[in-house]
Amino acid sequence: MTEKAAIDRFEEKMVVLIIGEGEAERQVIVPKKSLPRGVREGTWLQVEMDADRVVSAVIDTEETMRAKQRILDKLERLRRGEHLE
Amino acid sequence: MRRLVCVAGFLVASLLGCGSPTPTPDAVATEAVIAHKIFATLTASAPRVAITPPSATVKPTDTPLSPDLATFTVTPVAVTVRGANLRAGPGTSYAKVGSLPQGQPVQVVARNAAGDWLQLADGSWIFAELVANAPNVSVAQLSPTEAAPATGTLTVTFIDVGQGDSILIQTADGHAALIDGGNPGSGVLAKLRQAGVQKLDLVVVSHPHSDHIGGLPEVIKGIPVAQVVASGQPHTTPDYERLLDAIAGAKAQYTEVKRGDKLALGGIAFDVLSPERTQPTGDLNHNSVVLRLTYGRSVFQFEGDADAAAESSMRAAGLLGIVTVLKVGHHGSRTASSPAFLAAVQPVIAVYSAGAGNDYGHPHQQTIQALQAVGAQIYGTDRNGSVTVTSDGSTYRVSTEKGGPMQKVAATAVPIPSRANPMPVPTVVTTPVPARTDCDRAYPDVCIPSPPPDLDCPEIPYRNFRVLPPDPHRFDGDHDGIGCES
Repeated sequence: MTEKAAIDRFEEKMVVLIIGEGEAERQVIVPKKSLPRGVREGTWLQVEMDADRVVSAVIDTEETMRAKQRILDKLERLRRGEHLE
Repeated sequence: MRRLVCVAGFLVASLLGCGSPTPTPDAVATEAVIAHKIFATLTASAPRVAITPPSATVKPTDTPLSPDLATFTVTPVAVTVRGANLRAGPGTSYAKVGSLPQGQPVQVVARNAAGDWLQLADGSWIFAELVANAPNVSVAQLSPTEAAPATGTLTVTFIDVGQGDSILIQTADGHAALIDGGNPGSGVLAKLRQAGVQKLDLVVVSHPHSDHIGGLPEVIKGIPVAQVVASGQPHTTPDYERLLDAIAGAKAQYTEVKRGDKLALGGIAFDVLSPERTQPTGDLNHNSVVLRLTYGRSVFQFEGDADAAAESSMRAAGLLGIVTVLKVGHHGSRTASSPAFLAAVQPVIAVYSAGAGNDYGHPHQQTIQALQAVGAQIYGTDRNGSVTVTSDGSTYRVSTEKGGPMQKVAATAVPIPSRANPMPVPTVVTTPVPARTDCDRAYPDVCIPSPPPDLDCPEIPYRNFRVLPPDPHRFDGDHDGIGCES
């Protein structure tokens, strides 16, 4: 089963992934080497997991851009104080 | 030794609190009452005590000076005209830090802007009218923050949230701030309620990694939060998005802060030491919000996950000084707590926040050794549970859920080659090298074992060797068939 995953952070050679949505959302720590080259903190992926092991991982550029834009829009509204009105 | 010496003498004793009660044996395990040893907050480089002994007093005289003495300036010695209290700052709202009897010679080093309070060489303050013959001194440079008036007890709790950060700061007059909230499900809201926190003036987001922000949406939705401040570094994760949604839903004010800013909390204020700027760079740890809180003579510094480069930047900007309590950067990771930084801040108490048996090896051994090298007493939420430090501005107290500070562990002895015998006769031991049979076939020109463990180019001696699929170590990043190209 393929799931959405976001890279929360790098801790030296390890990567903290936030995998799945809703009730299935969880943090999994995987080796950096089990992920495609070019991933960064905040990159979204399509992953297939076997428990805590990465079976396959592909960068989801489209989801990365979509999430980034949505989040930056929300941040901009906070910066302008629009939520206080 | 600056913090550990209790110098004899009644003045020093009264100022340093040498006479403070020592902990009773049954209280030592979980609680230590320690006389406040930070004395140099305001005058880090000034001599501890510089009081002219009475025998050296030179009385002004009408007698013409002999020519031999004419070149000497005779300065009347400043003395107290009656018994006087010493304060941590220029005003009676500051904590009392000692007292002097009538007729005590004092060394005045500075005054406040109004000129009605004088600062003595030890950093304490005295009401100017109580001092006769006070010299004409310049206005004290209190940088970067004038010591906050300490009224009542400040409580700082390093909440045990497993592998993550969450720090609660409570003032005596009911103001509260929270720095970070641990991972999702950290339970920090319940712990705030246990601590009697019904609202937060301030929530500080040190940086947007899950182990710092994951538990914050629950807090922001659960109790009133007036203001949220952050580094300005956005993140593209579900936890960060939920944080933004929670701030918007709670109608909390949102502000981004950088070096030089101040954050008020009731009558006290945090100095923002880092980040240098709020523009997004993508380096979230480096741009952590680093805060310093000065309360009377206590100085707390909260590092977030700031790395050695951020420490170096703060040092270069002249922002570092002695601290009483350091929240160790990045859970005790070796990416922070550089020796130069620790030499500058010299914490009396160092608290790291980490989960027992975490996957990253936090705190790293070299960080612990570096903290021990500067004489810090080390507490960790993995060993001690939640750690609470209270300060009345002149003394502090550490209490934990379990246990005391980490015992100093002697570093492993490394034999030092004898200089007296520079050419020892080598003892030749011939050990047969076993033939390697586990060379991975993806690297036919060299012998590299198959993973595990995963190897990186810096860990192997070979460069520019042939790589065949499937390249289990991923030595050939650009897939041109050549590995670890130099």
